[in-house]
Amino acid sequence: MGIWSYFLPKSPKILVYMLQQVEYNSSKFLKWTITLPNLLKVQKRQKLETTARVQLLLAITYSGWIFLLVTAVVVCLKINVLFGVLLLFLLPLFLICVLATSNTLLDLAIITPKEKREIARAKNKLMSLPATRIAILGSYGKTTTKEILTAVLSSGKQVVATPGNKNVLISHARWVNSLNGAEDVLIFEYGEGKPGDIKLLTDFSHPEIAVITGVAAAHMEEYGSLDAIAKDFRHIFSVCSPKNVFINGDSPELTSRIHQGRTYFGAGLGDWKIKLQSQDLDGMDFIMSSGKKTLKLHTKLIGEHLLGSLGLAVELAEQLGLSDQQIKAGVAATKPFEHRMQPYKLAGAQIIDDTYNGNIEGVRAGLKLLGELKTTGRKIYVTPGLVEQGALTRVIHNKLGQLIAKSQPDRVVLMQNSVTSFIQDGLDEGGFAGELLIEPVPLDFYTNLEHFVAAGDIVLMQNDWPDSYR
Amino acid sequence: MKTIAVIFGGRSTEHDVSIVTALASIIKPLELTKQYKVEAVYVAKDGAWYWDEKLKDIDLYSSGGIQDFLHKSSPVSVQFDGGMTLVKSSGIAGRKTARKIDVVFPAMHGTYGEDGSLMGLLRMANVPFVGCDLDASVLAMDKVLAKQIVASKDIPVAKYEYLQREIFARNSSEVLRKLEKALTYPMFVKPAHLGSSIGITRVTGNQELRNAIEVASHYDEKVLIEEEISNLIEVTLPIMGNETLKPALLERPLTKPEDFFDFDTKYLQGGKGGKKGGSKGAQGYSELPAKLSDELYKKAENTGLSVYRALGCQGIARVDMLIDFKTEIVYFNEVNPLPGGLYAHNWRAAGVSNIELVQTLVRLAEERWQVVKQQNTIFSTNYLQQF
Amino acid sequence: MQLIVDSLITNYTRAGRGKVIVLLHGWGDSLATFNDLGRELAGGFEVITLDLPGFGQTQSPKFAWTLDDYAHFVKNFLDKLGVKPDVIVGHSNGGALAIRGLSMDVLKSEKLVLLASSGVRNTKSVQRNLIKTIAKIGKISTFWMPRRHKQKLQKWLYGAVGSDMLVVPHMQETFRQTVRQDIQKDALKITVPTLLIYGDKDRATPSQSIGNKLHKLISGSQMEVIPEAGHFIHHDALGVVAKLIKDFA
Repeated sequence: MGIWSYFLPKSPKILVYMLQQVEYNSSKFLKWTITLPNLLKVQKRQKLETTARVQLLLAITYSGWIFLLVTAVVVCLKINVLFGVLLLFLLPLFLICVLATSNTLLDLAIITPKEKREIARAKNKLMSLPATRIAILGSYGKTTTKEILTAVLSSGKQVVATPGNKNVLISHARWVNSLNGAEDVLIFEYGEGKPGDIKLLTDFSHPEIAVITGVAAAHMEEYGSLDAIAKDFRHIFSVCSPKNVFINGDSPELTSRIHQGRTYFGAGLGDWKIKLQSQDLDGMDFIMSSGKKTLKLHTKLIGEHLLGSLGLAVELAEQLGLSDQQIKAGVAATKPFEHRMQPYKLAGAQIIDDTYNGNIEGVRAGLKLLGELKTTGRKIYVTPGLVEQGALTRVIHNKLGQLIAKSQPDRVVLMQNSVTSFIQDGLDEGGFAGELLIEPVPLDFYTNLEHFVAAGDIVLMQNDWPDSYR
Repeated sequence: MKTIAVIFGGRSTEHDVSIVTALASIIKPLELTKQYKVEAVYVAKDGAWYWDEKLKDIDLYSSGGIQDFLHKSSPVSVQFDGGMTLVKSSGIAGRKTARKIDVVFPAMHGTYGEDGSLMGLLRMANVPFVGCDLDASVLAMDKVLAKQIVASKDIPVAKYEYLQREIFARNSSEVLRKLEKALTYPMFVKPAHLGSSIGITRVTGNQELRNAIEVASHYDEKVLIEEEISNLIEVTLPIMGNETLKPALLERPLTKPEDFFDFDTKYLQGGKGGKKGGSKGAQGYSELPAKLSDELYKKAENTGLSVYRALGCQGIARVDMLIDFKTEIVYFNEVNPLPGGLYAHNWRAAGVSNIELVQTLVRLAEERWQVVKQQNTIFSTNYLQQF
Repeated sequence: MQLIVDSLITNYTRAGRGKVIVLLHGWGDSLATFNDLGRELAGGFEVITLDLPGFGQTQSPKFAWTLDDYAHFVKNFLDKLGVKPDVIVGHSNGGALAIRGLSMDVLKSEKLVLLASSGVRNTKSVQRNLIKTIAKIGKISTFWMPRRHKQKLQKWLYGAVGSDMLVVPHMQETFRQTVRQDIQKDALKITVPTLLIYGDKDRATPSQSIGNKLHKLISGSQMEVIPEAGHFIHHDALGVVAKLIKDFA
């Protein structure tokens, strides 16, 4: 049925969008398109970002489209009508091949050499910068930890961190090339996509301090197992001394595999003890006490699972020479980031948007919070499930269902996809007795949220399910 | 999946408001439930009925494209086949599309719609419909009748008189004399049947009274004149239900003392031709919930519920009341059987989401119909044998 | 507030206490244009504004009206309110209306203020004839277009050449009869003290051509030209205009 969508004039644009979604990875693109999905149903969660690369690819694909059409017509007229029509039927595959091939060629001929030059230049520059280099790696929580460290350390130092989700080697290089040299602290977020990534990043930035935020099932299609993930992370020790590597003690998958470094917990690290006083949708009040001092701290962040990173930030701030005053101010400056346990009000209801969360630990923390909050209305939990869980998908989603059932929300909203039935099984096994709503068109729900809620409701939305997944 | 027809537009001064009520507060949430197939039926200003998916898009109306649409389309046919079925022939050689309607959701404000006209039609057609039935609608839309019924149940109403246009035209001085004898200034002169504050004037003297009656008569042949309530707090209460009633929150519209809730303020937010009007009109201008003492709040709530029952309202309605805060008397003002935008903002603040609101109303409609179905009104007789 | 005047439902406002000032708006406008000015003046005067028939919320006339019809309407409106104006203030076409009404003795007032008044027929007849020709050609060549698009195109064309004719499309005929009326002869008959206020950046009713002409025709009149103000001087220079009127009244 969907084959007709390839003959529409806008099909090249949709194909390029799909390529962009898999980050220009030709093999991932081919895997997705080889089944010839209906192009009109590729839900456009985002718009096609027009870069020079995109424009070039579009031009090539459109040319290919026109070329085939013209050839088919010529064949029809000059040789044989049947052949011409058959040729026309090859259009979908032809477009896909043209796009994939030109993408790969573009990569090899232009993009990769260009990137190599940028990286070499950046490496040189990096060696001359005096700033302290901190690396953050882990299966989840990297960006949050990065933002927390940045906010707290900025209270007394000039801190710059790799922006947004740009945590691959070429982005690091470009970022380094843009620095002005006056920075005190550079924070690198290491993105791991496949084995070997961490080594590349480590060798490039040579960090002095590192933080491993945890190990969980993420990018399982490339890594295959949690052990493989941990092995990759271990490369950090080839550059960083163990007393400068902090590992998250609250991630059992991490601590069971990596035994070097200094552990930090939500309950404390080193001499510090951390105690949560109270938490509501405006933030958390907590106390950090060591033998030498006690700090009363407030943050606008919510979620007990963040206390570990906050504690680590305080410890590093002290190490780098910030005063207690500065540390307090720094912690007070931390606030929720977009789509990460971000609270806001809508139509009188309280919404917590944690849609960027992509792992089971974050889910655990979110559900714990939901269970603790008090309200007159209903508690609603919304999730599509977790992507890239690989072979562990069924088990993890069953666990997810059970976790949800345990926190007893009044209503659960699931987005319909390949893991929905696993979550449902988990809900049943966990004894969920509330209302279950399955949304066949996720976008309809998220964009019309105000129609689903009323005053007094608390809605926790976690995880995202991008278009490239089924 | 059940099919729900939402009928909106109509030959009334509130035509445009009803479009927004239908599209934003009814059709959208109904479709989001994914439990119903929703059909949009638009009644144009000339009274013709149209049925099309395109009618669900607000841009069609705000851009003016509706004119072209009406120009090109032919009205829908309705088959009264013991129920109601919509029939449309689409361009290609008279290919007909038919859809049987399971429930009708009336979304028309004002004359020839909210006033019972549509309800009467639907009752006859034997199809379940949402909201007040024919009798309650007629009573609610006639401000005089509503006052008479409510007063008979010992619920306070402002002192009032009413007149017929023809009588006034024939003998205005006599009528005015009688009015001034029965009532004291300041007074409000209103067309008996309209909503939305059109044609309403506040008068403080004889000449003003005469002019105001002339204005009101321009809109309606029955005119209501009532005394102003002093120390005034205006409140309104949306209520839902058939036998078991659920009130929303008492809402207090806040307006400047000079201009009471007039059409512009209510729907166009102070500016002419404002596109941001419609169902959101009252929102920016109210205290929700109204800040009254617990006692007074309860009193007003109970008065609202009593009025709802007295008039026989079902499904949903909104009761407007006037409170004299010195004497703490709660007066009944008027009832609106189809609140603009269903007053969804108020229901939301009361803990009922848009989706729940429309789902409940559909359920109430079906429940009522079941009850009505039980009543046997068809009897077989021998009457015809004699012919 | 509303009133029935000559069987038309008429929208008007009335506020303040003191000498009576009546504000008459121009073509395609409504009483809302005087919201701010009215507020400024209501402090020391009784300010009355109305929507002229066919505009704002007042019903449209049942047949095409002339400027005289409008003048009679305003008279009947004021009579119904039982009001004798001390000052009539007319903006643009409202000014022409006032001039015509006063000259016919249909309207009576102690004083007259003309804000960027029109009424002097555009002497650039060559330009006008050109526009007329283009319009006729356009009408013929676009017969195939759907009505709504044709109307849009027409509106754009008229707007582009600065014509107000299609600002209120259903009043086209009335526009032709009213706005094209030349009241220069009537201006000669004005005997009441008159103040003319024009903006020097006014392109619709330029102070040099139209303003000065009327100034010369109305004996004993005063004229003020406000710098950096356009056709809607009561918006562009609210404070100055309000003060001028208060001092003059």
